[in-house]
Amino acid sequence: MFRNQTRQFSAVRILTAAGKKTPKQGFSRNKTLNSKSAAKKVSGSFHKRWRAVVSTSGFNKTATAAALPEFTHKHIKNEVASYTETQLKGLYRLGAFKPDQMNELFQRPISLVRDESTKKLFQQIDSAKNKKFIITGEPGVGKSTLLAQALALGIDKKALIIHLSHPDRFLNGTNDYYYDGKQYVQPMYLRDLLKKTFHLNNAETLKSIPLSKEYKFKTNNADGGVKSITLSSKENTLMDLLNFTAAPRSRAAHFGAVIHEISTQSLFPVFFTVDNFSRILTTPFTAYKNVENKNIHLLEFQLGKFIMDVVSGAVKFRHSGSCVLLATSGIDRTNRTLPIGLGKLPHDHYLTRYHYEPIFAELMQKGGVQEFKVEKMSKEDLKKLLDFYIKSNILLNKELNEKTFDQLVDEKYFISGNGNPRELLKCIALNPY
Amino acid sequence: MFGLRRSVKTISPAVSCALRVGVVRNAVGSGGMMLLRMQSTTSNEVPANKDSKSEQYNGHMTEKQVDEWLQAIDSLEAEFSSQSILSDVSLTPDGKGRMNLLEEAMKSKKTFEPTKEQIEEWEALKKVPIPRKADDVLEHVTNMIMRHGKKEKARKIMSRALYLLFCATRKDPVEVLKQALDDLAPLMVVKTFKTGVAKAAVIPVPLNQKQRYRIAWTWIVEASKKKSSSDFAVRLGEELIAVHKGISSGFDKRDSLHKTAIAHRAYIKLR
Repeated sequence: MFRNQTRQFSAVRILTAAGKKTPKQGFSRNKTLNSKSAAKKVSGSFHKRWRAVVSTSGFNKTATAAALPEFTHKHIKNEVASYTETQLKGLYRLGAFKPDQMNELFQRPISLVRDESTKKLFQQIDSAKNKKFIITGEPGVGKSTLLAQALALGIDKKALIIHLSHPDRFLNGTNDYYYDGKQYVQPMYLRDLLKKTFHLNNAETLKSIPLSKEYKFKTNNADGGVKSITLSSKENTLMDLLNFTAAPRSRAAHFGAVIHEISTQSLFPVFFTVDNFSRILTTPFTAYKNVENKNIHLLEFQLGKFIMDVVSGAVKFRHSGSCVLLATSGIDRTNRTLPIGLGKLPHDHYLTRYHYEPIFAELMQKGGVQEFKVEKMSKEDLKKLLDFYIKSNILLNKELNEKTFDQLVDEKYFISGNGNPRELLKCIALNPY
Repeated sequence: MFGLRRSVKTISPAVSCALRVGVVRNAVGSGGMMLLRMQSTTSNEVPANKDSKSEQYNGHMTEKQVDEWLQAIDSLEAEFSSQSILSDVSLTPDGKGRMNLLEEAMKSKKTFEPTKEQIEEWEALKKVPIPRKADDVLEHVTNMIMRHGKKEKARKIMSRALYLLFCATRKDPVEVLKQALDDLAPLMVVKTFKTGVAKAAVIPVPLNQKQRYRIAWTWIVEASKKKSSSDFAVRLGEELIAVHKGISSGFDKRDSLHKTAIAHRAYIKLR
C-alpha cells in the first residue's frame, strides 16, 4: 500500500499524466503499478503432448488407494510392493521413474518384487566378488524398475549414490561445454549432477566423511565478483565439498575432487548406476563438435571418461559393498558393442564404428562386467500384478463382468506376450476396445 | 472299353481306396481320423471304418501295388484322351455298370455324432450369450475421427483420449463417454421443408440414437480444436473431461437447438 502511494510520485507517472510518451529503454518488461504481475492463465499441463500431459498432471492424487506392503531389502517377498517415504524421495530426485511406466494410474509408484530378478540381483550384489552388472532384457520387461529397486536398496543401506538416469542429456549436445586443455567439460550438466548428488544422499552420511586433502576453488559471488574457497582436510567434510557451486571454469576441478573423495573413502558403499547405458554404447561419438567440426568422442569428456573408468575398473570404490549397475534400454538402437563387451561374440576388425565400438567393448571386458538378464513374468507373478490392478480399479467394467479371474489371467498372459509387464499394463489401461 | 474297365476293376484294393478318397471328398472316418470340433474342450475319436479296403490299406504300398496303380492311371489317361470323360462308366468298381459318383459320395457321408460330454458342454454354453466383438458407440465415434482409412491411428487417438478421461475421472472411460454423449446430444433438430408457397416450414424432427451421438461427437471434435495441445488425443481427452463436468461449449449448442425446436413445436404434425 505504502509502496503504491510512493510510486505515484515518480517522474514517469507524472509524465504519463501530462500526456507525454516516455521512450522505452532496453528490453526489460514494463513494470505495472502492482509489483505482482498477473498470473498467466494456463489450464494445467494440457498444452503438452500426451505422454507429458499424462505423467505431469498429478493424476495420481485421484487414484484409488490400495494398501500395499512396503519394499524392504531385509525380507524380499514375491509380491507387489510400494516404496517407503525415504526411498520415494530419493528415487524421485534420482529420476528413477520413467514417464512410460504409467505411474499415474496409482497413488504411488509400485513395483513387483520378483524372486527371479529382484532377489537374485540383491543376492549377487551381496555375494559377488566383482560387483559390476549390466541389466539386459527385452523392452518393457522391467529393467528400469529393477534398477529403481536396486537404488532403493542403496538408499536403505545409506550408500553414496551416483545415478545417471538419462545419458542422452549429456550426449545430445544441448549443454554448454569447453575444452580445458586436457578434456571437455560440461559445466551446467555437472552442476546439476553435483546438486542432485548433494540433495539425494543422506546429510549425516556426507557429514561423516572427512576430506582426504586440501582443496581450493573459485566461486562466483552474488554481485558478480569471484571469491575463492578453501576446504581443509581437518575441518571440512564431503558435505562441505558438495554444498557450494564452483565457478564454471573450476567446475571440472570440483567434480574431480568429488569423484576422488567418494572413491577413496571406505566408510560407506557406493552405488554407481547408469540407466539407458545402451545409449552410451551405441553412440560413442557425442553430438558435440570440436574446433574441426568433428563429433567429440565420449572419452574426451570428463564425465564420459569417469563413467568408462568406473566400468573398466580404472576408478575403484574402496568400500567392498560398492557396486556398479548399468541398464540397457529398449528405446536405444542396438549394435555389437554390448555382446562383444560381454564376451558373447568374438572381436571383429572389419565392423564400422556405427556397428561396433572396440574401445568400449574392451573397457567392459577389462572391468569384467557381467550380464544380468531380466526374464518375462511367470503366470503366478502376473496373477499378483493383475490382482493388484483389479483392486486399484483400472480394469474396464466390461472385462470384470464378463470374465472370471482365471480367464482374465489366461487372456492377459497371452496378450502381454507371455508376461511382459509393460505390455500387460498397456493392454489393460490403453485398450478400451 | 471293356479292357479299360477291367483294368480299373483289377486295381488293387489299396489303389481303389486311394482313388475313392481322392474322388469322393468324404474322407470322414475312412482312415480312423481324430475329429476335433472347433473350440470344443472335449474330443471324440471316430471309430475306424470297418471297410475291408481301408483295413488292407495301411499307409504302405508294395512295389507291385504301385506298379498296378500307375498302370491303371495310364490306361485311364489313354481312355480319357481318346474320348470324352465318362466318369459314370470308367470309374465304377466291380459288378456295377454305371453309377453316379457324386450321389454315392453323398450317400456314404457319415454324419457327425457328438459324444455325451460334448452335448453336455453345448447345453451348458447355450445360456451364455455370445459377447459382442466391439462396442457399437465406441466403433462409431472411432470411425468418425478416422481419416484416410487409418483405423489403427484413430483407435490409438481414442485410447489415449479415454486414458486421459479415466485418469481425470477414475471411472470406466467407456461408460463415461457414453454418458457424456447422451448428456450432450440433442433430442431433435429442426429441418426446413419447402412448402411451395412463400414461407418455408421449419419443423422439429426427432433423432434416433445414432443420429444424436453423431451430432454430439461432431460438437466434441469441433470444440477440441480450440484446445492448446498439439496432440489430438490430449485435446479430445480434455474436451471429454469438460463434457463430463458439464462445462463444454456443446451444451449451449444443444440448448439453442432445443429452443428453436420448442419455438416451432406448432408445426409438428401428429398424424
